[in-house]
Amino acid sequence: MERTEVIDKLTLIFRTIFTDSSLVLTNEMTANDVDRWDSLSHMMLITEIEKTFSIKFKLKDLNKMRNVGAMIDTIIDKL
Amino acid sequence: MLFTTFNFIIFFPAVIFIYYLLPLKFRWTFLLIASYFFYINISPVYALLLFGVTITTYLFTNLISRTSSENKKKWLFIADIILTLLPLFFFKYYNFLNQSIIDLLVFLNIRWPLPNLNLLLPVGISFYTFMALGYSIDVYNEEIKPEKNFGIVALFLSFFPIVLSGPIERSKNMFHQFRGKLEFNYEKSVKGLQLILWGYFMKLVIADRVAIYVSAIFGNFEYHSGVSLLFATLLYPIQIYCDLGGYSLIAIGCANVMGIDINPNFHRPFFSTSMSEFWRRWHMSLIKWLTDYIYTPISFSLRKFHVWGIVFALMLTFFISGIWHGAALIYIVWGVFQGILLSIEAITNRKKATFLKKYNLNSKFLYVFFSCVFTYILFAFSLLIAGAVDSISEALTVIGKIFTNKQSLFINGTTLVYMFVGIVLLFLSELRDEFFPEKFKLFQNNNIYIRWGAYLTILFIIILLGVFNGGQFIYFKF
Amino acid sequence: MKIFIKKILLFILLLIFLDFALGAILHHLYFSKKSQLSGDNKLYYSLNKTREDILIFGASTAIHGYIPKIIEDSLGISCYNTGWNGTNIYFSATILNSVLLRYSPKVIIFDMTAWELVKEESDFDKISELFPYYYSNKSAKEIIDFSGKYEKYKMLLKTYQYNSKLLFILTQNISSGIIGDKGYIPIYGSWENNLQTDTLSVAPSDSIKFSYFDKFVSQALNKGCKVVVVSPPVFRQYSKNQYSEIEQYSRMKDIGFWNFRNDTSFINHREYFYDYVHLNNSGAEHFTRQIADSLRKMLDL
Repeated sequence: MERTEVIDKLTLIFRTIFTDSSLVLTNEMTANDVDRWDSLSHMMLITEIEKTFSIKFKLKDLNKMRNVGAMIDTIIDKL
Repeated sequence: MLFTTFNFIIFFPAVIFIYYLLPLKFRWTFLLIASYFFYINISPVYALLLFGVTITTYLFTNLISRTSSENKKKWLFIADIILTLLPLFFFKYYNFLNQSIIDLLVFLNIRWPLPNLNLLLPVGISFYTFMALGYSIDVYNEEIKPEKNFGIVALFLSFFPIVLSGPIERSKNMFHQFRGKLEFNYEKSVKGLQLILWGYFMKLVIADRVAIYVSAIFGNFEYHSGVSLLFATLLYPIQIYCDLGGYSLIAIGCANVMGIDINPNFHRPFFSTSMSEFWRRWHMSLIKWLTDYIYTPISFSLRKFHVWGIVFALMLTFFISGIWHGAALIYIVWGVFQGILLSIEAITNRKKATFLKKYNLNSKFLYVFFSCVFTYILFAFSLLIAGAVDSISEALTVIGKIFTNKQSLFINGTTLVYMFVGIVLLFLSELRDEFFPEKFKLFQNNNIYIRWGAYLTILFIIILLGVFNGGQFIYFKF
Repeated sequence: MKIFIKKILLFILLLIFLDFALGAILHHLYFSKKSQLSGDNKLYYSLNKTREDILIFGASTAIHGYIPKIIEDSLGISCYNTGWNGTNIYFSATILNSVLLRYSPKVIIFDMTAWELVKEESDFDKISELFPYYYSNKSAKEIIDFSGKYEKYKMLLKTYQYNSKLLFILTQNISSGIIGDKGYIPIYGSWENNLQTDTLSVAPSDSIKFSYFDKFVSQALNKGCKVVVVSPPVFRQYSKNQYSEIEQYSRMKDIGFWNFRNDTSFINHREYFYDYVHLNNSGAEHFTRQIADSLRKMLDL
C-alpha cells in the first residue's frame, strides 16, 4: 500500500471517530491538537486502524506512535 | 533530614558549594555520595535496602537486554519485578495483609499464628521502588538501553531531592542528564531558587498552618459542629496540595540549582473542570507512571471491550493508586471511588463534549467556575475517606454531622488569619498563572527591584507566618 | 557563575539588614506601652509586672479555675493568675524565675494535672510564646535554647522572634494577650456527659521535667514563699492514685498538697464543669472559695 493510500484511509478513520468531516492530518499532529482525542478515543482509533489495515499492534508500537506521522510510519511497517 | 529541618538548610548549600567547585566529570559521582549521605542520615539500615534494590535493578536490566531468547527475557523480567516489589510489599503491606487474613480466618473460626510486625516503613520506598520498576519495564519494552554504569543507576534511585517524596522520575529523563554536562546554568539556578522559596512558602505558611486547624477539628470530630467539619473538609485539599506540592517544588528547585531538570508534579490542580482533568494536574508524576505502566497496557489489551475495557483499566489503575498511598481499607475505597468517578466521566464524555460544544460552555465564566468548584468539593469529600479521619465509619459520621449538626463554627483567630493570608497569596498567584500568564509578574518581572522585593517579602512572610514547631497548635477544649 | 554568587551574597546582606530593621520595628511595637497595659498582654505582665502576693501557676485548668478576685476579697491579699493554656512546668518555671528576680510572693500555687510531668511530644510547643523575650529574659533564653538544638541559630534572625506574633502586634489586642480578671478567664457552658471511671495509672514522670519541678519548688521555698501544689477537680472518678509521686515529694519538701481528685463536692456536680477536665465559671467560683478557705487556714488568718 502506498503512503498516500494509508493517509487517505487513516483520515477517514479520524474523521469518523472525532466526528469532524473537515479534519486534515498532518505529520506533527498529536492528541493535543484534536478535540476529544483522549485515552478512550485513542483506543477506539487503534481498534479501527487494526481492523481497517488488518494489522495487530503490540504495546511497543503504541509507545512509538507519538504523533500522526509516527503512526503512519508504524502502520506501513506492519503492512 | 526533611527539607524543613535545620540540617537540610546547612546540607544543601554545602552540597552546592562543593558541587560547583568540582570539575564537571566528578559532579555526578559527588551527587551519588551526597545522596547516600542524605539517605544514611535518615535511615542507615534502610540505605542498605535501597542499595539492594539498586543492585537487583542493575543486574536484571543488563541481563534482560543481553538475552536473546524472548521466553528467557520474559522470565527474567518477571523475576526482576517480583524481587523489586518484594521489599515494598513486605514493609508496607505485610501487616495489612496479615491482619486481613487474620480477620477473615477469625470470621471462619480459625486461628492464625503469624504475629503482626511493628515495622517502620523505609523512607521513600514507595517512590524509589516505582522508579526502579519503571526503568525495568522500559528496558524490557526496549524503550531505553540499560545503563552499564552502576553508579548512574544508583544515583537515579537515590537522588536526594526526589528520593523521599518524589516527583517520581524516569530513566529516560534522568540518565542522560547525569551523564551529560552538569554545567552551571544561571537561569536554571535562579528558577530553582524561586521554586525553593515558593515551595517553602506553600509548606510552612499554608500547609502547616492549615494542618493545625484541620487536625484540631478532625482530631476531635465527635465534639465539633457540622459547619466546622465542613470547613475542615474543604480546607484539607489545600493542606495536602501545599504539603506535597510545596515539597515537590523544593525538590525540583534543588535539582534545578544543580543544573538538573525534573518534571513538574502539580499544575494548578484546583482549576480543573472535571475529575479527569484533575488527575492530569495533580501528582502528575505518579499518574503518569500509573498511566504509562498500568493504564495504557491494560486498556490496550482490553481494547476490544471498548468503553468497558477503559473502565476496567481505570478501576485497576486507581485501585493500585489507592494501595500505593497506604495499606488500609480507606485507601482502597478511595482509589475505587476515584476509579468510579473517572469511569463515569469516560462513559459520559462524548455526550458531555457535544453538550459543551453546543452551548460553547468552556468559554463561559460561570460554567468554568462552577465546574472547578464542583470538582474541588468532590475531591475534598473523597479525601475525607482517605486520610482526614482514620476509618470509613468515622468518615461517615463526619458526613452525617455535616448535614445534621447545627452548632457554630470553631474559630481560632490567629490561625485563620495567617492561613487566609497564605491561601489568598497562593490563589492570586495561581489565578495569574492560569489566566493571565504575562501580566502582574513578580518573580519573573524584568525589574530587579520588583523581583527582589517579591523574594524578600515572601521570605519574611515565611519567617513571620511560617509554622516552625508544633507550638501553634490550637488547644481545643472538648 | 560569578555574578550569581555576587548576587546571592548581596541578597543575603540585604536580608540581614532588613531583618535587623524589621526586627527592631517589631520589637518596638510588641513592647510598646499600648500593648503592655496591665492585663492586656498577660505574658508580659506575668514575667515583668506582677506585684501580687499570691500567684497561681498552671495550664488551662489553672487559667479557668482560679478567680483571683474571690481570693482577694476573702483574704485581703492581692492575687494574680498566671495560668496559660497548653503550657507545662517548663513554661511555669520560666515565669516563676522571672518573678522571683523581682520579688518574693507570699504564696505560690501550682495547679498540676496528673500527667504534668510525663514526657510528651508537645512539651515544647508553647515555648514559642516566649520568643519575643529571648534577648531580654535569661530564663526564657534558657528554656528556648533547651527546647531545640538549633533554636539559638534561628534566634539570630531578629524577625524570627516575632513568628506568629504579627497579628497580635498589628491589632495589639487579644491573640496572645488576655483580657480577663487578674489573669482569670471564665468559660461558660455545661458538660453533658455522664461521670466515667478511669482505672489507669499514670506514666512515670520524665526526669528532666521532674528536675524543673523540683527547681520550681525549691527556688520558691528558698525565697521564703509558701508553696502549694493543687490537684484540680476533674469530672471523673479515679480508682488509682495518680498523684502518689507528687504526694511523696510534697511530704518530703513539707509543702502543701491539696487534692481535689474524687472530691464529692465536684464529682457529684456536673453543672460545675465545661468539659470533664475544666471548670466553668460557677465551678471556678465554688472551687476558688474552697482554695481561699484552705489558704486562710494555711496563713492563719
